[in-house]
Amino acid sequence: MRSFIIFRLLQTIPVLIGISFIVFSLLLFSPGDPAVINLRAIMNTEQPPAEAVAEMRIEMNLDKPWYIQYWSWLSRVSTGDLGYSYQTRRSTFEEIARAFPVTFLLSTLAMAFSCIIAIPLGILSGVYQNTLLDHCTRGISIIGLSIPDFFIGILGIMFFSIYLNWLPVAGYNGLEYLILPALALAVGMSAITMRLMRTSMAEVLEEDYIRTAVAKGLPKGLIIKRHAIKNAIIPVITYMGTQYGWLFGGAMIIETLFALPGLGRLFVESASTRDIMVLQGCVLVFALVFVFINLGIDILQYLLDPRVRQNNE
Amino acid sequence: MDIAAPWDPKTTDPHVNGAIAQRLGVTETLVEVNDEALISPGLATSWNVSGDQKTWTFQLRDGVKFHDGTPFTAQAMKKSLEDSLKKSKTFSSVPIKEIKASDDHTLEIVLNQSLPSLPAWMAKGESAALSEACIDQGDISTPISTGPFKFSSFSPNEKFVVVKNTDYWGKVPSVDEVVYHVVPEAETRSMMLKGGDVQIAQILSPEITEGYKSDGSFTVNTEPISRVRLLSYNCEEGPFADTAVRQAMNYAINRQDLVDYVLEGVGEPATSLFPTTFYWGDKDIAAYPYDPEKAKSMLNAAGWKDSDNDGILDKNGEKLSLTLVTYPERAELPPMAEIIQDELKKIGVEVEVKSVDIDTSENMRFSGDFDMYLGGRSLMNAPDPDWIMMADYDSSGSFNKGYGPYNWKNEKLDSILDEARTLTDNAARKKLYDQAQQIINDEAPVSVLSYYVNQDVTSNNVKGYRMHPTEFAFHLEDVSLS
Repeated sequence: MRSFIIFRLLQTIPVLIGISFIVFSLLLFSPGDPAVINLRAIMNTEQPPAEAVAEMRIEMNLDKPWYIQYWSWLSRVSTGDLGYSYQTRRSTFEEIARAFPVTFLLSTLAMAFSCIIAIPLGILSGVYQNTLLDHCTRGISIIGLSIPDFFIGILGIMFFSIYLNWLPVAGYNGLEYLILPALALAVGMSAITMRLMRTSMAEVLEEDYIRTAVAKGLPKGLIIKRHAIKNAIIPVITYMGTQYGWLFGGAMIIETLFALPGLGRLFVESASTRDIMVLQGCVLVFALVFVFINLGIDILQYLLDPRVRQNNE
Repeated sequence: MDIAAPWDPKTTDPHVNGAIAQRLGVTETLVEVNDEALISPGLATSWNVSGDQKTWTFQLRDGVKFHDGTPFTAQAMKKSLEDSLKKSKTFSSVPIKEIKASDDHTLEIVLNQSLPSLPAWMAKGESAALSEACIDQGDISTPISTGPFKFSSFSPNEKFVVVKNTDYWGKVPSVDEVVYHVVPEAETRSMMLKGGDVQIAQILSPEITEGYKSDGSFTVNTEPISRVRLLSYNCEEGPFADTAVRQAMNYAINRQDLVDYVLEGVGEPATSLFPTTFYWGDKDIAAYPYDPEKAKSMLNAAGWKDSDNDGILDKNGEKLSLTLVTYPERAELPPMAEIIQDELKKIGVEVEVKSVDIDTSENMRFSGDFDMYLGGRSLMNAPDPDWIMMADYDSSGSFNKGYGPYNWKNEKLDSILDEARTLTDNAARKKLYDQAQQIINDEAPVSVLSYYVNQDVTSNNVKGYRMHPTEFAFHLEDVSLS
């Protein structure tokens, strides 16, 4: 078990180095002078004066060649120093530490909603294939998949916040501010998960060991609970893990719509203002989140699935 | 009271970025900007300049206290300005040599060279007066200034909270607390207003405010701000080196159409460079009528005729075919460019629209790789006409990365602008700047198309809200909630 985890951890190192390099070179080749871009935001004008630009170029190290910029960044990052925001002059670490919990809560809540909606419905339509229930859930999931999350968000605000007055419109001042955005995110996600759960369930129900269980006279409920779900849920867990990872960077539209100070919005804003160090920090965090979620899924499968355990020993 | 606005204050240090703290009335500056966009006394009651135009003396207001109870003095102001010069990029083009506090209430600013707009620079939020203890914080996390509101808390990308200052030297606000919510999406700000989460939703788009006009429980406030949409011409080479061709464009472009079709009819077609709601706007400049026939005959007179009957004018075998460069970062510009393209086609001018990202567009502009450049231009980085006139229209600016005409020189304009720099009396200066705007209008090195307009919607229980022409203040000390 321990050697398995250590091996998986070591595998992530080249991935992270690759990511850091790609991000860095992307910024290098993007159009525009980062000094001008930063000054536009700082000075609140589209056309900053040339004197200020010259000062800013030196302050930002832009007068140095790219490999020196990259190397100095990498050596700083490896000591845990992610630099600071040109926009706010706060450290990148501080910016991310503030945004991360919001996104973490939002993503987790969205995943929870998605589970609650998708897993039971997926199991049911897998078991009762081609019944009215199956057709209904399929219809719902197609609708859920087709409507963009921000539109669901706007409908949600109009109904729950403006019409019923149950929930706040936007902003972040406690958990109730996360309910609507989490729901908006969960609808689209659960549509896919539901379909996956159904297919997986349907496949498992065709397996020989299920037929054997039926043949030896086990009651249907017991077969599904003890044999079918356990096997059918494994690919679903893998998929949901990936979804969870995506949410950390992918909730940017919803975070902007609901004015949540999360990681997605930090990412978008630092990208649009080309606040380089924060942008790099964000991407690093997204990569780390993915790496650790994948690690978590692998460990979970290791624990849940004896076949994986056997292959790794 | 709650306000939803798109801009994140980014920092609590007014000397790094002072806009939001100033707008919310936390910080104050030596000079203020009034509702006509004219500078007026703030923490300084008066100012004057020495004979050599290099030493400005400010008389400071008596009886003003910082939020921490310490008195506002020339020494504190000196320390503030020095801190600001150190931290902010705002004043990088202001040639300040030395700041002196001659006594408690007299502050002297000595310049390396004369700068008539110096008082206007002293209205920028980054020149905020902060208490000495406050500056000793280094990176200022709690701004302590003299304004009608005191800083309470700040959460980045979320909110900025201020409370009223009962010891304020001027009018004490009626609202106890103001929460400024940072909400990037206009639609969300509107929904927060409708849901009652906020009472003021700032900077909504014309499509959104349209829906409020019939709703009696809200008021739509509209204010032209100090930014114009300009079509600037390459006056060095190509057809626009000829003044008559530029002038013809003013008759060929229907400014009202641009406002009606792209901006939902919000705002006025422009006449003078400065909006006429501003002190510096020239109300006597007559708007160009839309007259494509006249445009065509002017082009004919300039030698551009359709000799080969292909529908496009030509001269010496060359077609009147132009490049219009613009950028999509301001969403209204590309559709405006298309309308202009269409209108010019009607008089036989072929236009190729190049809508590229703002940085590429600027590179094209500064290398003269364009005939027409459509862009937005902020007029009052310093709230004084000297700044924009020198940066864009004086030949020292237009030949050196100005954002007005490209490589254009008018001797008369240059001498008017120089003369204006020797004066301090606003009425006399205005006369000269009116002449300057008239020349720009007549010689057409640029076509001023329309002004940017902000629209804030307030719920009807908000009384006394008014918008500021240069966006320097929300005037919340004058606002009450019923």
